Amino acid sequence: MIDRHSMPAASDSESTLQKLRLGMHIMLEGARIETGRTPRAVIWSKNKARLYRYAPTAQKRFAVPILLVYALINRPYILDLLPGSSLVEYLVGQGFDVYLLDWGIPGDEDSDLGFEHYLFDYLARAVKRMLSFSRSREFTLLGYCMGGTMSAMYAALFPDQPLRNLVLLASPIDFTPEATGLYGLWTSARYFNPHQMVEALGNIPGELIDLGNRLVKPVANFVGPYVTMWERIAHDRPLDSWLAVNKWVSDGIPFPGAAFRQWISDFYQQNKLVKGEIELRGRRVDLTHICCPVLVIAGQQDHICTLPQAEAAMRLLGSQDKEFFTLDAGHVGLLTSPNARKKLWPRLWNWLESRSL
Amino acid sequence: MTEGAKTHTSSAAEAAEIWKQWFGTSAETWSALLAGSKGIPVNPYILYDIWARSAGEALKRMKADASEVNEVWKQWIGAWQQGLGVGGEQPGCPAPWLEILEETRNKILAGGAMSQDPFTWFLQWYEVTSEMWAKAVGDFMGTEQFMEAASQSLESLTRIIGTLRRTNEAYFSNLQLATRSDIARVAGLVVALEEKVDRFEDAFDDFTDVSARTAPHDPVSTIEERLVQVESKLETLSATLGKIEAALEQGNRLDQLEDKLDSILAALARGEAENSLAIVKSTGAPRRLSRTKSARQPKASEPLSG
Repeated sequence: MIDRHSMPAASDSESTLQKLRLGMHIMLEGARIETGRTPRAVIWSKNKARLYRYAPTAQKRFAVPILLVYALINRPYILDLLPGSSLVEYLVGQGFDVYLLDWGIPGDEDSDLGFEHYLFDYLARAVKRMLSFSRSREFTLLGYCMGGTMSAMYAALFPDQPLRNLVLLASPIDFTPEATGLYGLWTSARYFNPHQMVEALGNIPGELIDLGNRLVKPVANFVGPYVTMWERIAHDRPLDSWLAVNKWVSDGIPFPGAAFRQWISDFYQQNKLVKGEIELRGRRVDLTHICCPVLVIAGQQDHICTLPQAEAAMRLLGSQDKEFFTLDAGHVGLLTSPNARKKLWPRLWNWLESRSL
Repeated sequence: MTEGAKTHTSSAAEAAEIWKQWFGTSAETWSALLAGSKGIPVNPYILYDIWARSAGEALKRMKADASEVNEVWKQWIGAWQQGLGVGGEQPGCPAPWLEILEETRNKILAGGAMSQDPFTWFLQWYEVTSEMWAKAVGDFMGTEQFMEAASQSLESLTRIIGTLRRTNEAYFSNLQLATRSDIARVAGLVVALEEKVDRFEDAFDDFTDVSARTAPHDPVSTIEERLVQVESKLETLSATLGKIEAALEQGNRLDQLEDKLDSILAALARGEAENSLAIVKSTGAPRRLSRTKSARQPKASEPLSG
């Protein structure tokens, strides 16, 4: 990687050439930067999944640990992007005992893994391990994106578990076409056959998922990032956060075929979650069984999980203690934008503080 | 012809057929997109050809007179419009695209002189045009036309990939080489084995939890039970001792009472003896009966018989 801080002072034309070289290098080689730097240790593993425990940096103040659950697509280090821009680092610094369940990168042998496997065999066991390791009696579950949808399903399937709090961050619950926008149109049964795709591809490649996400706003997603990059290079602004976010966006992982089939067919095409028709291993997912305090967070500019999709949790979950919070940010901006650091994280801490003692 | 060769040949023919279908579909898609094609099939790459020619023209003009960037920009837009059918030389471009080009030109020129610095010029261009292009592309991608075309393209692509995978599997299988599916099967066995180990672990954890909560034959709990029994026995013993103590106390009291009675009896006997002596002194005859009585009366100090 070209380190422009070590480049000697240059004339205007040389400076322009150096900037051009830097930009072209990034465009050709891809964004490279070290991410996920908060120290952690693996306390449990299954197949490719890893349960991490983050080393506390402050005195532990809260008895209730937090388990972070991310989606099955992209990597979870978006929650621990860079020092100063890491939700994990923030929570650990506030005295929480923080754990993260990383699903890992599925291989061809995992193409039959569906949501029932991930919830019953992975998440349930991870919760048990975490409670045993932390010696605590209750825990908080924080799910981001599809991880939030999975967390809500887990909470509904296992109401007897000691779930103290549930936080849903940009988590789609309602998949009615009016709420899903272009996603709903593209994945409708009339135009999209997930079974055929899974039969041909097995696991859906991460590049294909990434392409679909970018096509929702093609100009902003294909051209916009590089405009921002060139603007930062031209005006000598820091590039680290841009590199980290773009590294993550391009770091997609395969979506297990069985889970992909369920996600498109049961959620997007038939909206079974809202109707209470999802059955996993003979057990119906009924969101009204969730009774713990719930915090639902959504981005006003989020086109991947729209406001109505996230807000549906407020009317469907059975909890009495429910709160809905929105931020002027997009799907990724909820974690990485300066607005998130100033407004969302303190709000999250404030909500958890009184419910984690 | 061997089975493998037949499979390979049939797969190749299938792939060629699929390629022809994809090309035909793409050509029809672009024709429909241009809308003004009036049924004339269009080479899908014609737009790129037009752009390359017009961009070449603009570059030549920029080299000739680099100071007038705005003028060059107007000429470049004009080249686009001409190439896309305003002058009637090419199949017509849909009106919205021409409107976008017109609006782009007006916005850029209204913003004052364009910068000669390429970075700044690019940023200015993006700020002015991105919203329009985003709206146009977004509107187009939501249309039935696009959806149908995209659906067919995706279906064709899926079929091609599926065919290629099956062909490769058959090819490598004939060469007696391990394929991805073979490796995946072995990995699947390992995963299944790990699942069994996990189940053992779960069962052991559950057993440990249950044992910790309720352990009737656990030595520790047995000792606890025995201790409880011993404690209850000690309490009984203590109660019994208390009763005995009370009984002994009663016995002492009885002894005291008896002593007193003995004293009283001794005093009565002495009194009677004195009375008898007095009588004897007065009459001179001993009274044997009294002495016999007094001799028979046990002394207070003598222990009770039995």
